[in-house]
Amino acid sequence: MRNISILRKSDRGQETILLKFSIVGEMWFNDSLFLIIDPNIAQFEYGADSERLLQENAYYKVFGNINIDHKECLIVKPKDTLKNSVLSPQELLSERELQIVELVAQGQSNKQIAKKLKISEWTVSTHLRRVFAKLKVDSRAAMVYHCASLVRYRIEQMQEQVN
Amino acid sequence: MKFPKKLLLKKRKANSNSVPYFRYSPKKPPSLMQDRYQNWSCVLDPAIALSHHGVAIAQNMGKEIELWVVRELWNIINNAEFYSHRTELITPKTINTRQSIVAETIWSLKEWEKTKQEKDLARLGVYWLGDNLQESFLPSNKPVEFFKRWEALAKALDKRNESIPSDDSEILTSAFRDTIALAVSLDSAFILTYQPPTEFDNGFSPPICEMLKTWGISCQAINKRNPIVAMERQYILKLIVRAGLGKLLLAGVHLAVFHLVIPATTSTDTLKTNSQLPIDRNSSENFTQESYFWNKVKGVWYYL
Repeated sequence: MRNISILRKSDRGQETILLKFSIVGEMWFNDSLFLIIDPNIAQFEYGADSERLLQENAYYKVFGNINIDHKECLIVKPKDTLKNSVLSPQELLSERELQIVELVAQGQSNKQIAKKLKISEWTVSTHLRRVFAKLKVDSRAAMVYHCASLVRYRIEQMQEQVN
Repeated sequence: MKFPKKLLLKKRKANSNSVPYFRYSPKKPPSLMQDRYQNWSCVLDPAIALSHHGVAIAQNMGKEIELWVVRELWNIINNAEFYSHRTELITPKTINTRQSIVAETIWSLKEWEKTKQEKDLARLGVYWLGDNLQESFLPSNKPVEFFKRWEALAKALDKRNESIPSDDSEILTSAFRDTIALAVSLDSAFILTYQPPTEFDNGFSPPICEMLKTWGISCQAINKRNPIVAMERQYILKLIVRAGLGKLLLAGVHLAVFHLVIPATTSTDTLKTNSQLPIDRNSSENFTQESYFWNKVKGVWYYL
């Protein structure tokens, strides 16, 4: 079971959970991805009209209901904005792309990354452009923000190995 | 055959099966090539590689001709799960909403993934240029400088992209760019591509031609009756039949052969020698030597 959190950013830059739900299953039908979600364990932003938010939001469209182990679940079709959330950054990016994101997060320039990975600066920039397109971001900062938890995890793993 | 020590295959601990590593191929020239096609190479473009027939073509044609794929294909296959969810990133804009195309791309990704799990990609019988020379797989007759030449050409072509706003087609554009630069780097190479039935029926050009046009490089269809085309077509048809792929033609798959014509006066080496290139004074564009090179390139294609 995978949890998806949809965050809302306030004017002050604070983030609150707008909607958090668990994906019970995934299925493909007519080349489209559908998710089965359990509404009983969904969490909402404080004060939100939970019934309505679960049925109507910008992230998926409800297609129907399904009963799984006596639980009424929803069949939803994710909209484009959710597609990337369904996959974690680890699934979104290849090993080389993750290496580059990690080095960018450490503040390294394309030139430094190129030297470290023994590839050309141009190759680094082609990887970065691909990552931007995949994550739908347009800056290095936004890219690092998107992958922050994964980068932190990888750096911790690396430090553990060194120790 | 003994490999130079420093060029031997090195395996990384992490993700060793996803990034192919460089070595020179011990593969002997295939039988067909020994007599007539020794200098020919074929590059599979992303449209055909990610089609229903991509894996079969790569597996079979590599036995008969020096066959190449681009590194962007490996980037896509190494991240197949993601691209199965986002097929619009790897299919041309004009057709990426059509369900049959989406299904075909997903099917092809799964086939490539299965092939990757079953065998070492280096045993697939195809060559490629990776992120650096160590991550490439080259035939034994290619000099080390070949990688630099390809990169210079791809980089130069990339400059033409700078004026085009980046969007969802970024990944596919990179794959076509690498294909075109590779075909130009190889001395006598053709690109094998294909056209889905609906696009063929509507008389559209293959996606690689459309891509060239966006870069300001002309692309012309040549009639099958052209005597040169007729001659070459016979050779390539034979090659396809020998590779055991004749059934594709019998089934009406619209394969197309694409050539990049570089005028004799313009050699790919000009990109390395910086200074004395003539400048086209008639144009208002601010020419660089790279754009001059690509301005002289022309694409021609025909259906098999």
